[in-house]
Amino acid sequence: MNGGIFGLLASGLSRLPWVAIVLVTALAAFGVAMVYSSGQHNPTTEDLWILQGQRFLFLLPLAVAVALLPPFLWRLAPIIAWPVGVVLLVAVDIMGSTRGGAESWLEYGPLRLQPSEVMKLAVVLAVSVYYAKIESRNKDRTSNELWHVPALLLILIPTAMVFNQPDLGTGSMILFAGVMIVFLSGVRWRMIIAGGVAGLLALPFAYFFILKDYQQQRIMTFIDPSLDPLGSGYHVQQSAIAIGSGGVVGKGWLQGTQAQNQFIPEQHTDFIFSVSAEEWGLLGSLMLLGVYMALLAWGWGVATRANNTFHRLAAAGATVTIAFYVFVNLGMVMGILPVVGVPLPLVSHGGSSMFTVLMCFSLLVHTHMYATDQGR
Amino acid sequence: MKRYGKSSRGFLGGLMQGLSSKSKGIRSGQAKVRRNKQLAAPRDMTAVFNRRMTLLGLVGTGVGGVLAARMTQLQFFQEKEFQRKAVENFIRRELVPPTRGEILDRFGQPIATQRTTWRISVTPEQTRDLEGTLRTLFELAPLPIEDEADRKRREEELIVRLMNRSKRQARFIPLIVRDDIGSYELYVRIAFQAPRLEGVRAETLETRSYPDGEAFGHLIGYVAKANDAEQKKNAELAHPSMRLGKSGVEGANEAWLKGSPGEQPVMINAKGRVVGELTEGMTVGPVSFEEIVSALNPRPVMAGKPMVLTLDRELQLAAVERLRRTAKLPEEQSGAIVVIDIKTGDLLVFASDPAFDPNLFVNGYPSDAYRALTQDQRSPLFHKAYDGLYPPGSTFKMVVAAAGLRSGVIDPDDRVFCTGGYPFGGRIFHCWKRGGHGSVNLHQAMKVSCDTYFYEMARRTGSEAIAQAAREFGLGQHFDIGATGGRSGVVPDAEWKRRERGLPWLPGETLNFGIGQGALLTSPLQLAVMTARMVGNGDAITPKLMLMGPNGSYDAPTFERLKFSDEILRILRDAMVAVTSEPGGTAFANGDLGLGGPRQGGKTGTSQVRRITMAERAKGVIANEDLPWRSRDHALFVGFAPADAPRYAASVIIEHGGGGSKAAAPVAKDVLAAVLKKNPAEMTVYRPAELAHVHDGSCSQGCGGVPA
Repeated sequence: MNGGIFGLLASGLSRLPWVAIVLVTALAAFGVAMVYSSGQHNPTTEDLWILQGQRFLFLLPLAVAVALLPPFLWRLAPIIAWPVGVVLLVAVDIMGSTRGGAESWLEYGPLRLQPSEVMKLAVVLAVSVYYAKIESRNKDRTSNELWHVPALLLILIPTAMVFNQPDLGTGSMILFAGVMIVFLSGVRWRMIIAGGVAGLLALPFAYFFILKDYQQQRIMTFIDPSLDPLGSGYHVQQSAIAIGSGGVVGKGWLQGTQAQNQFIPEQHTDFIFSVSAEEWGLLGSLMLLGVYMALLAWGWGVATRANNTFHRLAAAGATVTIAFYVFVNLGMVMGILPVVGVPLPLVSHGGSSMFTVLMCFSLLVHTHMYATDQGR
Repeated sequence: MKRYGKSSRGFLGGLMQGLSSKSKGIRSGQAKVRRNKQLAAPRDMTAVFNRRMTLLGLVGTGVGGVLAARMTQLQFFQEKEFQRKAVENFIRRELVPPTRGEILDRFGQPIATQRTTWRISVTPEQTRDLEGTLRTLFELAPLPIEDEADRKRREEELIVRLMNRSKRQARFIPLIVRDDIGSYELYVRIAFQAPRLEGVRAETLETRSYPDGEAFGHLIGYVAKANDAEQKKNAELAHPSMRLGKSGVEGANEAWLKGSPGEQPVMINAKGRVVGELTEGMTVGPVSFEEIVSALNPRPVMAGKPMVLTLDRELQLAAVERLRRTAKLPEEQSGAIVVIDIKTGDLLVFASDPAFDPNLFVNGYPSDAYRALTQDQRSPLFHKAYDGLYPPGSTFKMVVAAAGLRSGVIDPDDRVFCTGGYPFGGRIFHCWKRGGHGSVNLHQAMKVSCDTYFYEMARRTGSEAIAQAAREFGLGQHFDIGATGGRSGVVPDAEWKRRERGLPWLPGETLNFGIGQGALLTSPLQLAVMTARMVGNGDAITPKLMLMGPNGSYDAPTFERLKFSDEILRILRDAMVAVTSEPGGTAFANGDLGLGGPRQGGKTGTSQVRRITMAERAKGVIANEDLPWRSRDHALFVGFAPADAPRYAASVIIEHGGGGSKAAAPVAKDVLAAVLKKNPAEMTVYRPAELAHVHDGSCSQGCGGVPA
């Protein structure tokens, strides 16, 4: 059945991870519906669902197309992206514009770039490429613990810069994904334990000297929401009321009293799950969580099935990044984590997170296509 | 797991594999020990990766489980609690102001009622050009001011004030532009234009209305917006449509008239803006209207109770109209008249003029109009019939006679020779008639109002007995008729003087007391009561204002008996008839009521406003008309009709009107003629049929209206 170019295309298309593409598309479609609902009675956000839909329709094919680029380009990407990202972070620090409390945007005319967003994937790729390189020279990359030091620098330098912006959510995400790759690279448990202890010891220091006042306050409010019933505690409280009052079956699309009357803060972005939970109920919430778990399981599968170190680590890093988004967002919206400003991937309105998540997805599709049995 | 293709290693498969490699991990742990001894082969990094991926998979699944558990906790186990909180969030009770009870006259005619007015408001956030919209509105509905330039100026002021307010308050709160558009036509004009004018709303509301305005102003009082202190005590009063009874009957009977505001559930958004009404059968998400209502338990609105007064609106209007024809100059017309039913004490006319227009208080009295009231020499804010205190002058002479007759110190046939003065204590007490009245007995002295006679009789009777009689006739006493104000006046005696002035009573004061001057002060209401008691059947009647109300009843009242014999009362009455009906009587010209028979009886009085000095008297007293208005004497008259079978008593005061015979008696005559002609005491009074006519008030002002 060698049907020439069309046959090739057909066989190529058939090898795409359609189930995952369907999951991602379903999430994005659901997101558009929820952004639509959350903007019903707010003139400033009522049209954002269109933008959200357009972004996805543009970014998904782009993600698939980028996924089909040959592996050497993917390995090359971080070598350029990481240093450029660091330079841009410096540039942001000097001349970035402040949006939402953090200096994280770089603007040049109509162009607007968030280097910290790019850094998420750049760090995952850079660390993965690094370990793959080490391994190609030295079969046991953990033979000497010092091999981990450059990897940690690849992670910690951008992390520190993003924390400095200050963007707690993005910084934690870069740190977490990077550290997970180090973990998966086979770093010794005794080092992990030592690192963990050091990290715990550094926490109080970090709390008092690195976190800004409002971030400290968010954490204190998380511990005791009654400290600030009209501030950040109010957000969490209203979010919990929205979720809880949705009940088992929900109030129906566009019928949420909390969402439609603007009681939920940031309801089209970080707190969109509250809108969803209120309008679709527990059944909707569990289904949404199920779809995310299925997507993560697929990513997990791709990483475990990958046939080389770079793809293994990179796919795992991409999965971990998406998982971080999902878990931290749901955790904070449901009041089990402090509010750190992490959106719900593909559902929350926002171009940056959609770009990052779809690029992670792209990396997984790429791994699926080039480094697993299914892709052949 | 098939969907992941040919491989059996789906997610679960991977987990299984990971778990099995975990067991391998133990072995590789042993390998680690060996490697530490420099004997180790390189680790299988793929195996390590897979083991750790398995660990992460498990952790991830665990986190997913925790999140699912949290969802279940919030959305299943705490569902009811959060649903209640959500309802509390977006439902507010909006105040529904009650309909205030009407005040009706004895025949059911409205004295204070509700009038539908139209309110025009603009919501700043809904209009792009607030100022332009306001200007257009004033073009469509100009302020009701005649003078073009004045109107323009006031409109500009209002625009500036509204613009300033719009900057201070949330942009979704409507600015009330006009609250008092009374003309339906005007309302239609704006309502018709409203859709084209951005953010403009025209709605109807109920406003307290006093159809006869000033005629009942003093007695009925008015309602107005509560002041800050009152709003602090009762937050409901802050509602733009809530009014509070401030004075008069309105002020004294707040509890009876006001009803109680109800509540209506409305939906609000996070900013507090009302986004909709809740109506029966509606559901909000999973919550039904019934559940919301039972959770909120909103109070139903209760309309205020109607009040029926003893007044006769028609006669009151006639009396006010008559009061306005007492002086040549309009700025000198000031007086009061009270007409009372001698048998029941029902107040039929209770007028004081000039007065304020209570309608203007409802939405705030225009400041320049109010200033005009306070600067008017006739004190239009002052309730002369109830709060006004005047020396009764000669109208007091019956009291002196009654006291003297009762003590036996006066015999009706005793004569006194009046030479125009009465020397006493080294000075001369003058009679009003310079030449004197000659020899007069009680009957004649009353008829011609001879002061000399009463100097003598007062001296004989003594101040204590006179004061006692005065009190028994109702002077010096506060009558609570169910309106704010009312003053008891002064019936002086030795004890009073000691208490108030710290001085002993002087004998000469008894003489002044005898002609109703000196410290003695009475109100027109008291004089009417006094007259009614004198010419009635011996009952000490008390005035009554309400047939239905907190201190009213349709039942015939029972009164105490006066401690004066019928004989004494007959002598007084005959003398009072003589005043109007015998030649030489001070009000001889005013006896015939013009009804072809019935006459009035009565007594004139003139109460001195200024003290006439000896020097002035020596030069010759200046004629009253030549004095400035404020220095002229008050004219009084107390009367009753019909003369032969008294049913109605009246007291009239014309402030600075001069002599009672000239200024006050004709007013009493005309008013009593009107009263007698109608004879309201014999007509069936109005009884509300079980409050059937009371509006239920379920959707009075505020329904779907302006947020509180």
